[in-house]
Amino acid sequence: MNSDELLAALRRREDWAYRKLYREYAGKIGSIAKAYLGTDDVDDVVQEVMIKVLRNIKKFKGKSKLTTWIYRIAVNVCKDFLSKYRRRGEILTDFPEDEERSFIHPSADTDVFSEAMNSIAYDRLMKAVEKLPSEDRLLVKLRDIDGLSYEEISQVLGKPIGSVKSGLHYARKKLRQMIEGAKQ
Amino acid sequence: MNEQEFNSFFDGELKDSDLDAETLNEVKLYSEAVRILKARFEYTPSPVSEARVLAKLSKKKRIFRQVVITASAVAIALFAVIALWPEKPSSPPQSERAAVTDVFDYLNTVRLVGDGF
Repeated sequence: MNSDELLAALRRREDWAYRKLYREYAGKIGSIAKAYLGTDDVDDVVQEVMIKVLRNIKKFKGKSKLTTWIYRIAVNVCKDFLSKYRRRGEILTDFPEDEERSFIHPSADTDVFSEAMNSIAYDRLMKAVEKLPSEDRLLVKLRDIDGLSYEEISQVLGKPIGSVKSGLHYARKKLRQMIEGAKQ
Repeated sequence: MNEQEFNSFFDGELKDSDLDAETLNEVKLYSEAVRILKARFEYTPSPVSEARVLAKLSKKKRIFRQVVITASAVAIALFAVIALWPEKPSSPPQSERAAVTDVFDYLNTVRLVGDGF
């Protein structure tokens, strides 16, 4: 099954294609939403993105990758949610106490640097990440976690490649400073 | 620490052997932080959420189908009404009208004669 067949089936509004698209992309969309909004409660965002994607699938011309197009919709929906939350004055970032369980401890063969990292209190690191602006968190997520190219990120964010590059370098610098701060 | 080398490493332009010790430390620390963030941002959609989205989409599809069916039925009914509507009785052609006028003129003349003209 290639993406053209999936697209054709989506345009024919076939149920199996809806299901496949959901299973393939819901996790990625949720992950973007978590990074951008800094909250765990992203089910509504995922739902809205999926509905928007399927409602507008006929408008997708294939000029970019399907993933890039979906990410772009996800970022736009996140922006809408963020402004909605801000209007209501809601605090978004939530890092539950039991989050410690998801902390990845370095494996036995990792070096001294991983151990140093492990010494950073998880909560302190997360608090530092909270302070990182949404756009910066998203840049780090898209480039350093998901491994998207600068061109793809530029398509997702609707910004020139130069701005993406400089924004990412700045975000990395800020994150590094925050890591340093969390270590102390 | 060399900022440019740090970014070049993450852009795949430099290998770790090309980095000085201090930059390499920063690279390793940053990579570890990114690994933690990756785990933090992970999202696994619940089956309930999937069912909810798919139900919402099927509902939209069903409504769309019903609207199409209803619109088609209305169009067919309208077409049938227009096609089968009885035509308005047409006025008699000009020649018939003239003949009728002649008959009435004749009858008037007969009446005048009868009245003792």
